[in-house]
Amino acid sequence: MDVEESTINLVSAEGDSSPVPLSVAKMSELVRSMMDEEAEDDDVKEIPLPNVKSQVLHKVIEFCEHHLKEPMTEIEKPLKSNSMSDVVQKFYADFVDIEQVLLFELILAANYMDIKPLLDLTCATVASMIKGKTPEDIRTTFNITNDFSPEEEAQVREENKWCEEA
Amino acid sequence: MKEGTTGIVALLISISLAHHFLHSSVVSEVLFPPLAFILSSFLLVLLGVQYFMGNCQKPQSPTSISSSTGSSSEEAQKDKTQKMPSGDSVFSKFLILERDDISVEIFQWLDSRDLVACSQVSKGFRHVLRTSSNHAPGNFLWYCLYCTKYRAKFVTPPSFEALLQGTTCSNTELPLDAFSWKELVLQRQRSANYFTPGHPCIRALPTELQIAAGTQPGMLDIVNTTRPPTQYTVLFGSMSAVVFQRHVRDMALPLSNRRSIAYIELYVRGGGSCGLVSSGRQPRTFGRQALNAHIGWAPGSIGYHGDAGYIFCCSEEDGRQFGTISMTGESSEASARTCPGFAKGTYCYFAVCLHDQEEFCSVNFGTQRFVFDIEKYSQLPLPTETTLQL
Repeated sequence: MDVEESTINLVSAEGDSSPVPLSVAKMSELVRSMMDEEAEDDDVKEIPLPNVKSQVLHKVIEFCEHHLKEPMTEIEKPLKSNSMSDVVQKFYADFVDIEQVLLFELILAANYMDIKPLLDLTCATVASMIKGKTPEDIRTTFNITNDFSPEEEAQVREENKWCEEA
Repeated sequence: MKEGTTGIVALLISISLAHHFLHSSVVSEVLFPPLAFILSSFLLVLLGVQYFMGNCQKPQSPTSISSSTGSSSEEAQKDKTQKMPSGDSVFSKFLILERDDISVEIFQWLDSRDLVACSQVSKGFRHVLRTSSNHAPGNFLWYCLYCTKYRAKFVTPPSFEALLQGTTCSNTELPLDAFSWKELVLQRQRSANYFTPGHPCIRALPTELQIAAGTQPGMLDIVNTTRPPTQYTVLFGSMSAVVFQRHVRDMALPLSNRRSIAYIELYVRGGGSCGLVSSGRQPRTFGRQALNAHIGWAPGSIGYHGDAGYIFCCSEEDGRQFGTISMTGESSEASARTCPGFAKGTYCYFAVCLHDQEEFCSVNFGTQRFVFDIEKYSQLPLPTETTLQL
């Protein structure tokens, strides 16, 4: 019905093309700037996104589509809760309830495509996994090796001694 | 709660121990309509104390840290690729890719305690959060943290006139390199630890003043709870004063390389005075006669009086209205006259006095955002010591 609403094709790393309404695609500053550059030639356009896999691109589009309908509440800094559902609407909290690998890909995609709300959401999600944890817990959560020597560790702890006061 | 004249008052007292001199400049006369004590007023008093660096507690010297982080960061980068599990963790990947920009995006959502925990996780984390260089992403991160926590949408220092009129000024950015943001965050965090009602030092303060957690989180609310007025107190008020048991030196914010500034903001409802006193001793009550005097009346104290809008120094009215006092202590006849007890480094404890029952003030020891842009102020040149603008 919407005659005005033209679409644009976003092409993933695998070469899959996804038609997306302009308003959705333009949530990406990258797409927006690419379109501005190309002026107004023709209706059908393709935007290649060689850094974004299809699976991730679909997630990104899902986010953008929903964001136009129900904009995400702005996340407060510093984060107030460990649970994203306390911070954003249910859709967004469910949206980032995913494997760390996909979350990581989403962060990269949001960063590359320059979609601020998505970058905020995904990064805040990682932060929520850190919030309130001890260094040891953080290592476990992210599978990180403690590569400090005992002396270095003591030194770091000494620097941050104030934190344990009060 | 009386609806009185509303005025915003800002007081900046700067002390440097290197010289012995007293001067003041009136920032704006409009701000200080003299108010009778009875007249309830809402005052905002800003008090700052600044020392030359030579005499103040130096911010934690970064030299020892930076030398070790300098070398360890290189190792860390080597280690990152070797030791990091190739695994399935979001974070280790960013660290392997050395995407500090993305790590910063993540860290920006955390508060200082969590950031400190992160810096103890591994060398890779430490590398991102290090502050040995002002250009490091870590410094930017702490800058963002500081701004969200303590500056919020505060863009520029409003002029005092603008404060009064409620207008704001145009945006100017603070120079990122000019501050050690981590030190600033940590210092203000320390204040938050210290100035809470549960802290032994606060609990020990006198009981005529009820000190409780502020209605605004992080602030301290002080209420004068002296008994109902007697004939005496009707005439003279039932003043109650409190001296906070922390040397201003320890409250100094590491704001600039040349001087450090301790800064406190107060909202006062009623006839209040605030200022600095020479000893940490609490005022006493002497029979019916209150020795709980306004700050600036007793020897060894200097204070701003919200009712009159004058600065009092050791009992005598200094005659100067509100403004910037720079107590640099150079031998000056004016200061010698008005401050008989004046001695080098005398005034070092912050004190508040509330004139009457149920009067109230709310103190921000730096745990909350300031109304005044102290960061910007710290970048301005030192006030010239001889100017006296009235």
